[in-house]
Amino acid sequence: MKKRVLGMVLALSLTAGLLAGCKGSASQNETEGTKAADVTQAQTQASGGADQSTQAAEDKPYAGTTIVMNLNTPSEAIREQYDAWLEDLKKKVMDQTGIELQVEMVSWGDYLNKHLTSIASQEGPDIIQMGSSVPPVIAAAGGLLDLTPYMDELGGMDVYYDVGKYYCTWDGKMMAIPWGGGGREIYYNKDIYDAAGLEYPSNDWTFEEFTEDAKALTEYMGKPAFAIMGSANDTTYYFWSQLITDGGNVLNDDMTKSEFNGQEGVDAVKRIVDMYNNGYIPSSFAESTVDDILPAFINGEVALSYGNASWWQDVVANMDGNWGTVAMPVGKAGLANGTVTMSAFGIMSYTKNPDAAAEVLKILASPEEIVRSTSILGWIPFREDIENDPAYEDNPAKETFFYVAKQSKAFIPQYQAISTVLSTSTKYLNSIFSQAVTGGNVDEAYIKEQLDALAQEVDHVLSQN
Amino acid sequence: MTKTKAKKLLKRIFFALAIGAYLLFALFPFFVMIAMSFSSKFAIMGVDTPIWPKKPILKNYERMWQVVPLLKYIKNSLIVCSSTVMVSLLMSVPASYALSRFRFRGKKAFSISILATQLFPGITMLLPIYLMYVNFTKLTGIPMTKTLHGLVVAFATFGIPYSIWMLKSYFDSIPDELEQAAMIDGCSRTKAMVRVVLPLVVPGMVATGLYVFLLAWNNILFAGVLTDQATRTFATGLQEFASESSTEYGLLMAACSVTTIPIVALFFVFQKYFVGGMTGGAVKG
Amino acid sequence: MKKKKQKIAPWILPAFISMSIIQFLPGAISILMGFTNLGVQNITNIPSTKITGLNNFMEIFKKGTVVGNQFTISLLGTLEYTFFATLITFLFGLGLALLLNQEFPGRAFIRAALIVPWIVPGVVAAFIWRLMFLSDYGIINKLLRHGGIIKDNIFWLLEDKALFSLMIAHLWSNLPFVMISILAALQTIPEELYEACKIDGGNVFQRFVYISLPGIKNVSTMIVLLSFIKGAGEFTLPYVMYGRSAPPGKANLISILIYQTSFQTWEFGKGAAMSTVILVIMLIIAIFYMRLAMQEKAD
Repeated sequence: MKKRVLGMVLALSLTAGLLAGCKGSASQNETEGTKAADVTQAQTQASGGADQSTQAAEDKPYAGTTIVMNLNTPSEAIREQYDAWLEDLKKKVMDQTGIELQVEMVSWGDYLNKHLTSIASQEGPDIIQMGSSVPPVIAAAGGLLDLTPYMDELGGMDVYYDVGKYYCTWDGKMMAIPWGGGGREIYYNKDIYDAAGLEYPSNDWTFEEFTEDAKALTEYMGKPAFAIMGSANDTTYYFWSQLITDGGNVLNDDMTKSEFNGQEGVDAVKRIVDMYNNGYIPSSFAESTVDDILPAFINGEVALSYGNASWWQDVVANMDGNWGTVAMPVGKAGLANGTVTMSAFGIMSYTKNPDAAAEVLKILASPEEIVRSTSILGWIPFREDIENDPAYEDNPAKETFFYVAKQSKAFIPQYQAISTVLSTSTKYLNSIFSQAVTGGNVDEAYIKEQLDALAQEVDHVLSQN
Repeated sequence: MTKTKAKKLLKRIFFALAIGAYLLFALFPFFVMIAMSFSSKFAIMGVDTPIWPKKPILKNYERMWQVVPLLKYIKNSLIVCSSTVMVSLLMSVPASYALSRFRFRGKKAFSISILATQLFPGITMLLPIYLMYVNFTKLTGIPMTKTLHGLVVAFATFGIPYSIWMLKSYFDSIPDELEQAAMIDGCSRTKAMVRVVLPLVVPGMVATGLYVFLLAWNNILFAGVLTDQATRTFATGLQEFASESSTEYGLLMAACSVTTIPIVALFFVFQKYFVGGMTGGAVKG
Repeated sequence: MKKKKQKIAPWILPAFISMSIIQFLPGAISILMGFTNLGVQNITNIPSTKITGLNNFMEIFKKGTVVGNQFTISLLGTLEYTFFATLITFLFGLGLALLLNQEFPGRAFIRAALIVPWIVPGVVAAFIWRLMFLSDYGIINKLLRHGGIIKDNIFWLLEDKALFSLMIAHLWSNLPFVMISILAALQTIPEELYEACKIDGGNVFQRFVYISLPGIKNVSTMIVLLSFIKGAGEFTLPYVMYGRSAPPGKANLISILIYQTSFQTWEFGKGAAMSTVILVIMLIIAIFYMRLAMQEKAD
């Protein structure tokens, strides 16, 4: 016993002593690091920039302030345009406010990890970009600044689409500003439609019409005609939107209980399985993600595909105009519920300059910048007042995009543990689909059983919060 | 004799087949990688798409530098990984020697605890290490996150346990009599170790160094969170080829092909350390 | 016994101190985290975290919950994966090293070629294998279809096969290291020993058992241990290989589950509790293995 105590004391004193030792070795390393890295360069650049700003903008209230913004990496095709926009944005921010805006690009793969460590350590970027399901998570952790007081300067509540506002609200407060995004809809190949002698679908097509098309196209092509991802969260998005268009609900209104395991939910899953069993969906769908489906559609392997609005640029570049896009088919509830996801801006609650950050956000969320950035990104803006801007005229999918954005109901429950609910649903759906393609018996009873098991897990999550 | 000849031939055939199978397994995915680096990202997917593209394109090799600052990331990776190797070898060579040769109190506890750190899922330590770095910076003013040396510190300490275990086994395989003899000749223990034993474990050190190098080279989790745009490493930088809705396979594979080939060449040079009479001679003597 | 008492401190202190800071300390903090409710609700204010005793440990085994239902599956999957991945990597590595230890034309080139998989970053390796394993578009099924070996696609990435595919990818990336290390050890065996054995009439097998095997035993013990560690902590492969979603069933290895729990749902308490459980299990196995290995050595 005595030995152990001694050992502990020794270990403790070592740990204390190491701080001194570590300081030395760390600074040694530092010289090594800084010599090689662009750190020093970046620092001189930064201080140089600040100097300029103080000279150029002495009368500006935020002169000398630096605001750091994290944005997610855009797709490869538009990177130069995007960078050019950011350069102009930085200049504009500097000219109007004297704030030096620094932009840091983060990968989609690990941006949430970065936000998490920033929140935990209470330092990091001032402004961040977030996907649809992220604001409630960070807000619930107290990581986001309440933007409600700034809303008047940010265009007022009325200019934003309801669906966007829904995603950005937490606890009755606006925690983020909707930026842009897109619907998930059905893409179709016009050449194959023509060759099969079918009429192009319209935004108000019903599920029956959709199935008929899939059948006719499959018969014409001699192989499955409809691609859908059975893996990744897109599957859950598809499931949920099917459920909602049939009149079902994901969770009950006060977010305490699952409702997706009702009859509408079972039907929605059954429909996908039936389409597979009828040969309209390739068996590979159980493992497919967006990465596999977009090339399949572009290569003409399939005639119909469930896809994201941000596909259109790739589709335009590779398909010679022989494609079209429509909203998801209408279900029993008579609602063509496209699935809409988006990105939003938020200000971190730990920021030392909330007003300056809000000032940057004001420029960022101004109609002019939203138009420019979203038209580069191929998104639709989440502001109603700019939807007629000529910038979107190039976008051949524009009509469907706006149609979807306006009539769709927000489908991701606005809930702090939503990422758990999402990933768990995906896991169960994927397992159901895997069963189907590997020859398991997937009937209504099995689907019901699986959805009930999922509901049990989800309800437990709901009861914890 | 024909019998032995036939036997020899059979042996040769078996040998060639085995090596061939291994080569196929090792190089086929690599060939796929190269093939994809010459394809557009959409040409990859298709039921009847050939492995090698019908119309190979060079575009990926031009484009990748423009999309992601690869050179900077490669440079960062090289700095971080080589410093990591040096730091962890410097610390673990003496420690592993001590573990191999000396008896001391707490030896077992030390061995087991360094083993334990490696069996503990590293992901869980990410947050504590990040917070320690931030607090260390608050205390001392020395930046740790978003720096290359911060990464080196983390990677080197992750490399130490591996290095200690590996090097210990190499030291173990060298008879103690060698130093004893040198010490009888009047060398100190340290001198004997440096002069006599160390040259013998050079192959082991190179193998260990390579292992630690690639451990650092491949890390995405720590490198992702502990760096920013200026200090990002190659493996994490590759993630920039994926956006919200698609992965640029062509660019990704091109970037990877370009970095793999020089390292293979480097290995080609370094393998002299494994081969050769260096070790044999010393043991003989 | 050593004759002179040797001063130990200068030999091990540098390693010990640095490990104390970057490994033992955060490791200890992580283990402590498992006994607290650190999560979304207190991440911005860590000092307000409360100690909840064994709560997290009970939660991760509780049926009917997201983590509880998955944890045992992941745990068993990880053990299975670690065992088989270590075994096949070692056996193939040993075989390959023995082959490459012989003189033959083009040896240097082949050795360099075989190192390739090691250098390909894990992220890219995972992407390549994913693309190869895809059922419709994947090269493996394409070849099998063309060769007339299969009619219906094999689903390499689904259900039970997922774990197997993961092992193949693991083998591909890790074989070079095992091969190189064993080869390095083989190189330290003096040629004369083989010659002597040959003169004494020893055949290939005897030469292997009496000379090669003892010569690489120390390194092999270590290699198996390191492979075991590598397998138990496998992250990048399963993280990337299943596209943008979690691997199915058993292939959702424990490190992925911990990542999901800690970094996607921000339940650090539970994540840390899982880590502690896996640490205890893996450590028991490792110590048991070491005992076994050491005992053999003593014989």
